[in-house]
Amino acid sequence: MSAFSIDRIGFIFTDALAEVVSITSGFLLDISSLEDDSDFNEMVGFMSLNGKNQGIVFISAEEATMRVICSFMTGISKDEVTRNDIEDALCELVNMTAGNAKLRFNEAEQIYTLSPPFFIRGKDMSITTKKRVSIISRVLKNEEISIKLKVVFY
Amino acid sequence: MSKFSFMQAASQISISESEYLLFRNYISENCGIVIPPEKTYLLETRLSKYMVDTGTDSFGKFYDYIKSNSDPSIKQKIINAITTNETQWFRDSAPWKVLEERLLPELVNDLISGKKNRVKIWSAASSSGQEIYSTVMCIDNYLSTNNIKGVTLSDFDFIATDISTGVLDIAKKGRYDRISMIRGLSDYYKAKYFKENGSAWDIDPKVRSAVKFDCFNLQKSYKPLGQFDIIFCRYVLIYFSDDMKKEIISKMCDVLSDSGVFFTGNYALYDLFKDNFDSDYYGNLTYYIKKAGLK
Amino acid sequence: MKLLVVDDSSITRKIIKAVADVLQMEMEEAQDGIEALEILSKKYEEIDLVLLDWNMPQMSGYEVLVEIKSNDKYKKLPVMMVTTEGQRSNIVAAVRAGAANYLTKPFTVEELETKIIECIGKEGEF
Repeated sequence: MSAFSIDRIGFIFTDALAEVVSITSGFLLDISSLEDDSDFNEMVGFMSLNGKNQGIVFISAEEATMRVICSFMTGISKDEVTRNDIEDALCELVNMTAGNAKLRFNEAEQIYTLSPPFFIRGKDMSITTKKRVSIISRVLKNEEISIKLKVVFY
Repeated sequence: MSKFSFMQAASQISISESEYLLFRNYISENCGIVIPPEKTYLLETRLSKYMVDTGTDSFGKFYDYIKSNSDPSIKQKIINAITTNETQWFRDSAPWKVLEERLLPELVNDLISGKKNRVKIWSAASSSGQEIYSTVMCIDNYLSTNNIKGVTLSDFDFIATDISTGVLDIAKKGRYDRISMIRGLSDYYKAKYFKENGSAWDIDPKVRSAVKFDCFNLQKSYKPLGQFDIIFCRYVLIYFSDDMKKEIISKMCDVLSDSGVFFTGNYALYDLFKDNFDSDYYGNLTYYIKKAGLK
Repeated sequence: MKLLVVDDSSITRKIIKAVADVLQMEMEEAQDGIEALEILSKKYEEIDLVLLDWNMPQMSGYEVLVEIKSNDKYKKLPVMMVTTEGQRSNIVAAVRAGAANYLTKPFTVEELETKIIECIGKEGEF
């Protein structure tokens, strides 16, 4: 079977992330495209993707967004959620998105492995590579929260 | 069992197309829900456990087991596993604004004047109860804040149905965890209608006892449920086939009183309603009003 | 009644705690399999249900499950897997190894509540 196109893979991760956020926090998000070179938000979870395509999947959000999501996930008020909680929440979003995406790949007999999630935090982060890459960039948002998804293929 | 021998446990990697079709049809026949091909993985994550319990090792053999009727409880287990829905208090808020600002003034007048004996409201696919309880709280609050004399909650019938017995059990208890409580509930309503009980919250017994909960399949006849003034059927039609959507809307129209109101989720279904309903608009919500003079 | 939750995610443990509270269940927590087995060795008589993640450092949840089911003192304890691993091969393996139930993340609180009740008993027993 031929490999999925990068658009198809991008759609799978976008839909998986939207579903995960909806189930865990109750938020329904609108999805739109972003410029490829848009910056990350200050908190970034990522994992690598290996199979017929290779890439890295980044999910990023500002702390304010993660505070709200974490609050709705746990029932703890957003002033009381801790820094550890919100970092863990982002890792769990990445983890669950990976798990959901893997199921969809398996069903279509597209075999991919996904690394465990990693987490970094910083300001003004962007991607620089020495190789030509293809990028799918999306933003998932509503009035209260905004999450960026980037899938970078190399 | 060795560390990695579980990799040989399943007889094949993914559900075959024929197995998917068997289960898609079974689920559609038994609860109306259509599992699209891109969501086939839901069959695996939600039903594999029951497959193993039956001693079968493929979805094809699992299907044969189900059809053999050796276990009458398996159908309800499958329905409960497949039909879980998210819900929240006052979801989208607009329906209850319509209720408070447009519908209740007239309905209350009809009750006071005797034009109506009762007002009957149905929450179809009520899940764990937040929608119907939101409605009861909204009406009770309207009556008390507007000092309405001569009309009480007992003049209203609240019916809530779902096909899943698991979520109905949660709804009947009226007891909610802190996660459910943070979603959509204002501090005002929380203070007025809930009591903290440890780290969970119990809804006011007068709200809880106002609602009759029943296990009900939307594919069945609605006539035994009676006639309704308002029907909530929100965020459930999207899971059905187009034919089933039309059938449900038609059957709900038949059990709605003239000028009865139909609330759906926040998605466009106008074409399915235009023959028998007028539409109106509030906030970002379109809602439907049964045309007068229909059978 | 008492739950033992084994998951390296603090968020997941907090979500499960909210549901344990509504079911009026106490909760013990472990961040990995080794800690879980230590708790069980001392407190197994108090525990009524174990909720177990699959992907954890040092020991996988599957390995913890196999350990529990091979220990005469607490092999009868019901164990429910709560994990992102939703493939059939994982589910089949876990149930055949003795898992009483299996819940794939992400889940709603309603799903978790009904699955816990399924594992332990009817609503009236809480």
